[in-house]
Amino acid sequence: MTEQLDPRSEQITRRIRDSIERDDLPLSDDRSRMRYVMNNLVLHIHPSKVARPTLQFTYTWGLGGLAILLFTILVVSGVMLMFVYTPSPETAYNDMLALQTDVQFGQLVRNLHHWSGNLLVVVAFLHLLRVFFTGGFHPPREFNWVLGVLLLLLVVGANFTGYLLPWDQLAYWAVTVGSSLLTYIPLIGEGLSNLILGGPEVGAATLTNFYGLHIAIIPLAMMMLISFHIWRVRKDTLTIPRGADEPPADRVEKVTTIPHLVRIELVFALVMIALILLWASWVNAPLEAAANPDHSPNPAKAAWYFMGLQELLLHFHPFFAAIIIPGLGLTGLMMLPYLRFDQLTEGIWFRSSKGRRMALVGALTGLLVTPGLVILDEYFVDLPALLPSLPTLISNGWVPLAGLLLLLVIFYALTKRLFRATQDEARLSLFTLLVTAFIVLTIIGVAFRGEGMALMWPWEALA
Amino acid sequence: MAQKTVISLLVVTIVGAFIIGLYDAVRPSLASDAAVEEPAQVAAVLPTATAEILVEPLATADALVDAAATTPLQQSLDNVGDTWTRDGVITVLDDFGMTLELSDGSSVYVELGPPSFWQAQNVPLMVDESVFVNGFSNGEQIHAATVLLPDGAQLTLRNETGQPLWSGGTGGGNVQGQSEPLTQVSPEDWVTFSGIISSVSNSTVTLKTSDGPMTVQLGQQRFWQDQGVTLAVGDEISVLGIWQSSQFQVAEITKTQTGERIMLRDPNNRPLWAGPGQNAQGSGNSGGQGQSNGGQGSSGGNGQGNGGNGQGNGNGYRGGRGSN
Ligand code: HEM
Repeated sequence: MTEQLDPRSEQITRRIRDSIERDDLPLSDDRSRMRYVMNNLVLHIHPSKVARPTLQFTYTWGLGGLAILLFTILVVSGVMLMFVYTPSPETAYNDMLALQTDVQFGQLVRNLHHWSGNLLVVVAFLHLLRVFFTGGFHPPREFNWVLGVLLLLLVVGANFTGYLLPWDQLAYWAVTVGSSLLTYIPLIGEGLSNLILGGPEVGAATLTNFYGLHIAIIPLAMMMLISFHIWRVRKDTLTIPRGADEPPADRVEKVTTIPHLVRIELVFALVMIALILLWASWVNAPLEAAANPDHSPNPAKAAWYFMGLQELLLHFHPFFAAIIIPGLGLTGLMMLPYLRFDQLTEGIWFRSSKGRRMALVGALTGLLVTPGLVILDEYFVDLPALLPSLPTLISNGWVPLAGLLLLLVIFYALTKRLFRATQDEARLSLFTLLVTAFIVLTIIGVAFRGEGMALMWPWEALA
Repeated sequence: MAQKTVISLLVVTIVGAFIIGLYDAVRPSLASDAAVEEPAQVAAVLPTATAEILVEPLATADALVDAAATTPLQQSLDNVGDTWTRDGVITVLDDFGMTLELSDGSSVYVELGPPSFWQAQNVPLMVDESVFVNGFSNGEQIHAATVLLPDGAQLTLRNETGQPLWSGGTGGGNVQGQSEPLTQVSPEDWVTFSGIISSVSNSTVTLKTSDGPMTVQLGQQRFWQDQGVTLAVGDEISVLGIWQSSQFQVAEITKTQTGERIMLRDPNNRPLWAGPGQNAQGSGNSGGQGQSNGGQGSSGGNGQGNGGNGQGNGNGYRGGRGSN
């Protein structure tokens, strides 16, 4: 009787196992293999088959996947941190000290969270570059690019709000510097800053605000957006990699996701976890003296990923440095997939063999011109003094920006004329130039600015 | 079409800025230089006297800061405080002062004034050296007037009344009468703001005051940066200046925490970086040399005559810079 009512196996271990894994491991025939594949959770994330060329590691570099892995590590280690942390100026810093000294593996958990968070900023940015340089944003993937940009903003926002929580000098002043940028938004800037900080300056209310954003709002938003993003990748499928100047293949070979893709993902994830654990065991997350609102470190620097912006502030009127230029940059980034293209280049690294050279031209130009302009402005040109009758908003804002934009226009026109680049190749070159410039500015801000944000030469910076 | 419009806008901006720049450069008198013009012409006639008048009220720099709204600038000499005389051992030395360990074991910070001034006297101070300080204390800050070294060398920084010699000497009584036609700015116009710096560039500093953010112009970059005071985001500062139409012009910036100061304009709101004025150019252009003499001379204590003989109408600040 029982056998008819309950068709399950007689062994309890087997019954348990079957409840989790409904089908046997893939059999040799294609049909049962496919059934195994269809019934698997993995396939709610991946399609059942993927194009073989996309498995090539040097196409995606596993960066999107790595971002998901890091996000997972962040959630797990973050929840652990919540057990010991109270977001109040009286307790926060002591909690960090206690975590590092009294709690078993406390320092390791903190290190994991800290380094994964910083790495995620880098990885998300590199993933953006990978997608850009392989033309992964072309239709139908335009909107997924936009989702990606939003995700990048959330990653930075999560990092920024988390920066404050240890309530040490670094945290306090980086957030003071970073949030002061908001006040330059016309009309609403002051109000917005007050809203986010919970008052005119960083204090207890800021800490609770940031805590809420950091542990609930931003992670939830990220989870939703990541699901959306991955779902779109699944629906649109990944772009198929191909060689430069190679036409798109009519037919691509497809292989089952399990085991071909999952195997790679698993190995990659394990290797990365090992590396991150190793790093976190050896390198401690920084913790400085307790926050002291009366005494700022000199120089007071923002978090490293904002140093490009802080560097701009030294050269432009704050309204331009903090609002207009980043605003233009972000708008450009979001609109990029919606520009018309004149070549079908998706799946090709750097568009074409000429595109490769154009990327190099852009990178080299950015590498040489950016430090040049910084030095020029630092030591030789003082626009407000040369144009005393204009308000600085113009003389140190619009005028230098117009100059730079004009240079970019000229650069763009030159790449087309000199190298006979197509529109896509010229755009690629320009994008590379801007990205390089941003990275160079960030490096100058992080490494070559000393006391009072004075410029240091490399030999001084090293000394 | 849209492209052409944008590009034209950019080109127009650059060409326009260039033309305005040229115009600014050749225009004989700018609004902000109006105050400069007159004293400069008088200077041609009466070099010595003018120099002192221009500079005198700046004498006590503290004064400027405290002289918010109502206090006449000249009054606040007493701010340097009472005489203070001690000997001690230098434990820390920086550009603007030194920390002394006194015989009773306590430590105090003694202000020495602008590095360009005292370092030019070639009386090297060193950590671990014991020195004898004659100066003034107002309960908060200690200002050195003279620092005597064991080998007899002496740094001279202020006169008997506490007036800093780097500001160009002590104005005599005669100054009062003469300053009348020259003063463009009445003491009541001076106002002070304080707040926390939210951003600094080469030529502006933005601070958060209780009334909201405010951006002030620092004038010529090299001039203020040469004064050796660093401004960083997060520093609390107070700025003293006046409103000229809708522009706020700063005379002086003081860092609240350290008391360090950046001087930008004299009490007539004349920009110090503008130099001695057109007519004095001839004597001033011998460059750093001639100007540093100004600084040196005044260290000797004869602040009176020095302004005149160092350089046309050197105003102390130039002297300081030149010797740098
Ligand atoms: C937390 C941040 C992010 C996560 C977790 C994430 C995750 C992923 C994953 C797993 C893929 C599959 C392919 C791969 O691994 O490269 C992917 C593809 C893609 N991502 Fe992201 N991504 C993130 C941020 C971004 C950003 C910043 C952008 C660009 C602005 C972006 C745009 C795209 C696009 C357009 C694709 C499709 C590329 C193709 O088909 O070749 N993503 N993303």
